[in-house]
Amino acid sequence: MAFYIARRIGLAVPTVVGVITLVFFLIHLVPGDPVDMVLGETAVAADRARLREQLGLDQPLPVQYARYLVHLARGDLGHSLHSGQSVGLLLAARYPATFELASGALLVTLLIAFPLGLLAAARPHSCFDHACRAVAVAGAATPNFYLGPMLILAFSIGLEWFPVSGRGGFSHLTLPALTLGIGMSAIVARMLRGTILDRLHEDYVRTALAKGVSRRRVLLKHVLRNALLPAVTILGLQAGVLLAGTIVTETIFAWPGIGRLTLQAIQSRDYPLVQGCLLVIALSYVLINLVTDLLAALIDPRIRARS
Amino acid sequence: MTGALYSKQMVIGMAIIALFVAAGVLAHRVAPYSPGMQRLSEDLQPPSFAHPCGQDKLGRDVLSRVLVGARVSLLVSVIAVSISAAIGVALGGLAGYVGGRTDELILRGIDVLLAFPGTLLAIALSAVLGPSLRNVIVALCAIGWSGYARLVRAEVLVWRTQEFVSAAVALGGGPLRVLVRHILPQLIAPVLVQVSFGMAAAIMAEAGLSFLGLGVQPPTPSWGSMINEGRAFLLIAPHVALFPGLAISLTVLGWQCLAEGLREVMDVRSGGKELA
Repeated sequence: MAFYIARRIGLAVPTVVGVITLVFFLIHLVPGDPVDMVLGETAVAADRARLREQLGLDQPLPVQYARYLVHLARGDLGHSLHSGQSVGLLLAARYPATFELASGALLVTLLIAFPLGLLAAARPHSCFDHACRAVAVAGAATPNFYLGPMLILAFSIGLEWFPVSGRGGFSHLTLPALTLGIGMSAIVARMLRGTILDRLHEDYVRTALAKGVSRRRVLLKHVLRNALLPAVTILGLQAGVLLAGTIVTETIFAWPGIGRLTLQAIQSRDYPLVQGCLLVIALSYVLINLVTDLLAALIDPRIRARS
Repeated sequence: MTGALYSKQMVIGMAIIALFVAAGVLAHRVAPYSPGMQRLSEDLQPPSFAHPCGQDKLGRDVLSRVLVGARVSLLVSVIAVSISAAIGVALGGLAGYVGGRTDELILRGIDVLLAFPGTLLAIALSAVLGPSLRNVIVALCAIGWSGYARLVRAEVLVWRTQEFVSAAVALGGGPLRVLVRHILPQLIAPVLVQVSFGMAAAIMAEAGLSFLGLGVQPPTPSWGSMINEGRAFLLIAPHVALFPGLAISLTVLGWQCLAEGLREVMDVRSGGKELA
């Protein structure tokens, strides 16, 4: 396993470099001059030159990129153009809120997707199965920027069960986590149902049933375990949707996380902050995929053997 | 093929899409009012006989705006998916057929793009390029092609080893001719399925960007920006956000049903298994 972990981490290095490069050049594609964005087009030439030098924009692009890498290696993500605060500190202050929201959404996904997928597969083509599939299809077709306001309408304004916005305890987390988790649950439940149905036709299931093992036990002990691997993989792939979804969800619920900070930075054209936010979200995605692969190898020894 | 020419899912999907396309194409003819016509004295009125979906904060007819919003959504999704599919099929075909360094280079590009959450990249691109209809299309194309390229590359790698391809090469067929005339026609089914899923994703992404203020700009109606405008009036006028949201869900549902139905009818998965 140690060899597999080392190899997988090694493979993640070029991806991380690629992501860092992509983020850097993405921000430097900006049409127009960032100095104009900060000082306005009417600023005097001396002030513009001073800020240009301060931001390192007076250097050629390769030099700027090299400096960016050096600063990044030191953990320096630059300073916000508007508040002047360290981007690293701003991100560190917001990261726990985003982590809390993403964890809540993941919990919602697990709590909805696994029972739904399992029960639908246990009785394929029954009324319950059709209902589950209908719910899954509807869930996947409902964007979170629509689901969020509708949940607020029903549960915050109508029933007054949960607060409309902000971060606090469990009651504050419920609606944002549901908004982010329901779409993912639909996809994972549908995939899990399909995988379990495929596995039910395997020889080991027929053998277990022929030996007199109950269908329930076969399903829970043998089939579910084998269906866990694709479920973990799809959860990892959905992490991208989850992380990008935090931008919309945090905006709807005024959740003080990195997603909302990203949109605020975009709206105020605070490019060092936008760059920092994109980098943290993208690297979190790479990390989640790494953890997913390691989990998959832990669940299925054949993956370790193949590597 | 499974034998059946269509499935129930596919018919439902096609019916919804036909409605969507008709609404998009005929929007300005069938809309009861001009989407920009303001009646400030009738702001936030609930659905009525004259305005079946109610009116927004400026007294504009929500139904007319939803219909014209379908046009924007149709335009963005069709252009973005067509360009993405064209680039993806060309690069994926090239990578799979030529192999070597070309394959490595294209594959690394795909890997880096896939290492970045797609929606996040679209948001970032729209943000740096500036909010506009054109830039939304650019952003969606920039992230969309990688999925097609990966699919086509994998399929080409399988098909290029088939006997009929070897025969075409033995008969003197050049790489381009073999790829275009013999291999790519075999990929119509999986690419069609991917296009249907891509349409659903593009509609959702366009609406999402417009919701965040990074897409289509006012006064052009977009389903996403209509939901965002309606958010402020959920308590007193929920219809403002409700109807554009229903339009998005229904249209996305239509494309997903079509994609699933196509996959079932064309038996894309088992076809792949047989080849493998």
